[in-house]
Amino acid sequence: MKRILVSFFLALTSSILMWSAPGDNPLNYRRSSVYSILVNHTEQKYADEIFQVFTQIPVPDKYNDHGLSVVTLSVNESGDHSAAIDEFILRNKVASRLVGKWFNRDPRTGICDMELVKARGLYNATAFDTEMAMNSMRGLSLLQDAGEDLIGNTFLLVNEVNYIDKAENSKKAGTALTVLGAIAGLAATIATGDDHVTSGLALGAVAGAVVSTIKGFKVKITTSLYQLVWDEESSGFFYSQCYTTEPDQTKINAFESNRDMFKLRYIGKVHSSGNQTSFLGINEDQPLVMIRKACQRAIDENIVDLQKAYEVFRVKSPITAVDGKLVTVSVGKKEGVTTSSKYEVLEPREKSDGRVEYVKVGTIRPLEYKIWDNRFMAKEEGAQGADLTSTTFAVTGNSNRIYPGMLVREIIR
Amino acid sequence: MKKILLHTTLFLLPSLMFAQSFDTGKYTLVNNLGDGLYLVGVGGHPEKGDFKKTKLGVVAEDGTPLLKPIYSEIGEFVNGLAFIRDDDKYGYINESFQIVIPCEYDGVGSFNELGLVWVNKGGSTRNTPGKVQGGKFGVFDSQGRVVVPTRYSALGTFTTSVSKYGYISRNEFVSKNSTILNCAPNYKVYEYSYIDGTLLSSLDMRQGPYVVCSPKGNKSGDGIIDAEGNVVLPEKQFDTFFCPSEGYVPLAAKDKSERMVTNYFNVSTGSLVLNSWEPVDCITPYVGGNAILTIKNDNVIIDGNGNQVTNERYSFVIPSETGTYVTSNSNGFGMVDVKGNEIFPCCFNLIVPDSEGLFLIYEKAGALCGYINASGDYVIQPKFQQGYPFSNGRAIVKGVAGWGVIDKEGNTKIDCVWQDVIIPTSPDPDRVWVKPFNEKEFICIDTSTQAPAFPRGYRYVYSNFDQDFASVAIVGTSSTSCGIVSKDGTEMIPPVINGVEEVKELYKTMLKDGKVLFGEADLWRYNLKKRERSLRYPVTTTVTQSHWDY
Repeated sequence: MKRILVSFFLALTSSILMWSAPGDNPLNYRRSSVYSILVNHTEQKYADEIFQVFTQIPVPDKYNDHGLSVVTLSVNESGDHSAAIDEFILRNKVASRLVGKWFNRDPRTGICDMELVKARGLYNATAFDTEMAMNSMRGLSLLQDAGEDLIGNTFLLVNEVNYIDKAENSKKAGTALTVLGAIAGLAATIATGDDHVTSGLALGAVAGAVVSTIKGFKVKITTSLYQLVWDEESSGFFYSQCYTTEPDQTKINAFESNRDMFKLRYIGKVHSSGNQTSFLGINEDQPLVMIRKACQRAIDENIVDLQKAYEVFRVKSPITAVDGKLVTVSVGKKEGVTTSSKYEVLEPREKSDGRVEYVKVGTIRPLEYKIWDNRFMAKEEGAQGADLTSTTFAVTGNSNRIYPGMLVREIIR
Repeated sequence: MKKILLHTTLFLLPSLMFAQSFDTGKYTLVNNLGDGLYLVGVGGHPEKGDFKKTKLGVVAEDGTPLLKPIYSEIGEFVNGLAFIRDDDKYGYINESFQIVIPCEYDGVGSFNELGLVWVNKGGSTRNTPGKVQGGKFGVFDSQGRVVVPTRYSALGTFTTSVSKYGYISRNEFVSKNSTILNCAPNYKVYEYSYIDGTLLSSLDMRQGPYVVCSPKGNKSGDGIIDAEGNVVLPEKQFDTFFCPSEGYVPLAAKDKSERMVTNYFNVSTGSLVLNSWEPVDCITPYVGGNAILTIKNDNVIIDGNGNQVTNERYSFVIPSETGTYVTSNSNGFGMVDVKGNEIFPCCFNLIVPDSEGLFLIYEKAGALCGYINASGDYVIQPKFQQGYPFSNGRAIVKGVAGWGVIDKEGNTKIDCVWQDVIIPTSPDPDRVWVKPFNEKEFICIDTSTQAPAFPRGYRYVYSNFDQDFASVAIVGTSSTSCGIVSKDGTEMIPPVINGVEEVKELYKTMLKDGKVLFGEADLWRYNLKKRERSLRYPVTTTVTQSHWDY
């Protein structure tokens, strides 16, 4: 296996870059990569509007966007769709496509490259090729490092969005769901014959009712988390049998015939609370903005809960500045920072074999009125902290060893 | 205090497993909020998801009531304050669960950045769901102190700027002098508008810490109170006024001839600045200690006491960023300083208010133009047929043979030989876009050699090098086909993308993904993704390969 991996890299013509310390640029650090899918309940109200806004919601900037072309699935009844979703993932060989994206594999020609690995892995130019040519442990470790800390941290989020009809409670609160205007702008059904694609919306078309309420629209989102399996077997097969920088029919066939070899492992799921979303700052004639805000806040909430529940999904964020006992970090309420949050400070250290390990060097806690509110539309609603650009933390204990570029990760009690 | 979000629909089941030490039997709902706090509810059937009759409160871990369970809703704590609702009455509590604003108001806003919130008593949302109408409005601060008594039919804030040069009564003034006015720094006065009573909306006081208080709600007899509760402008005295600046409130009215007249209310003295109301074309604010009375063909600069700063009267006066005024009368343009000392008499054909410290000047009609400083000294001698103000240290000027670029010392950076030049948007650029005569496309030239940097030209240049992204420009072959080109002419994204914003987003993604060129495969994926974005696949589908980008 080792010999195969080394031979593979010897065959590369492009230079591979060595990993650089994040201190070179505090905002450069390795992120996990995420592919996000919507499961749209077409039998529910506002299904079209939810579909329309979901495609506008970006992957959180603490993650790399590893999205594929297919982003929306549909179901037309309530109930548990977990099994159907699992089958979709398997039947459509989603894991293999995530691998393909890592290597920029053109499915039409089979041609691959390492540009994305280099960019996201933050490798810098060194004597990496020399290490590989020498068949050294150091070069091999770097390859494994890219696998474990990078490609293996690729996740699929499946977001099943359910609309919660709050008409009854809205009346009690003195408001009412008032639907004004006609539904308009729905695109014609797109018939492909083979894919049984359902009707969709032209981008930008407002196909909605104007919702005259500030509290009536709520969603409950169930987010399921899957992780790409990138082990010795799958990586070895890909590098040796599938990776090519020139058209090679054998390698094309090898990959296409063995897409099932690549897998996604189910990690778990969380449900959003269905909390009320404030619609401050949103005019009532902006229903899509209200819907987007409700959806985005719920998704952000689920991502925070997934990080709390599953360490593998937890993000690290860089310290951007240090001033005595105070440090600033580009995290905020969107990432779940509260006054009771506690973070560990991690120093990345390069080991002798070239791989990176993270060593805890301190802990920090956010200052109460210095928590950045970076949630979607926090500024428009005049939320406290929305005018900040980062959160300020106090170091608990010795601060001498903390400097910009170090990473922080929340400690979940 | 831990941030708490409490709402009737948040808590679906009574807690059975918490470590509280009080008797939960009397509650239909108990939920651990953390930090030794428990949300409790009485009445209703929250265990079935029915909160219609549940009243909420908060108790401590030992059962000590902190907030009586009489509320239908408790809002999210923001800045230490949360609204409370008892049926259709609103109030506010702080994080110690003390009542800050009694729960007796028919509508409340949200606290703004100055810690102020509006309230309404006697109004109703019955006919306008989500908005309270009627009743009386007032303002509280975050300590529960009354800033504005709850006796006003409407409240307003200064949010709308009225044109670039004040409150205009005659549009021909603006259109006639648009060239000059477009070069003038922003010189705004702000009108006010009433809040619309949207529940939980906040007072927008970004233009100034003032609330307009309206007894009648019809912009008649309104007054101004500041964020401390002090009267800035008394009620029932003036019908039309604008946002205070430097301690003066610009006023407007109509005289018997229906002309617009102005005066200023001195807040500290409580009196009018001018002895009589003056007819003006525009209302202007006090800036730098002076204001301008824009009387047709008779503009004057006045100080804080209403005295003319100069003895002269002008057809108009334009302030500049350096504090110097560009003046004009029938003899031409001139300049005075902030104290009214004449720098130039009005004798020049045109002086354009300064840009980066230099004033474009045409001494005579048809004469060549140059640039002077605030002292009136020529920095660049008049030698150009036309010119534009400086930006980023460069100005485009027209010589005998065409347009070019100069720096603030008057040195030619790009020879004046072009049909058109796009003004540089970064200091000392090494690339400039120019259009040769008899051509429809802009080409890019190297500023050091003035030779084309690369051969390909583009019909449209949407964004100069370094304007949005370092070292690249956004160009187009048509108004809907945009791309990205580098300084050496490499089309990093060919001009095939529909729209400037879309090409910007695409470029950002390219950078993140480590791509340096948008190749054929990338274009194929881009078009595929655009198509796929509008499609929904039943979860039972097997999506064919042609729909996948990988």
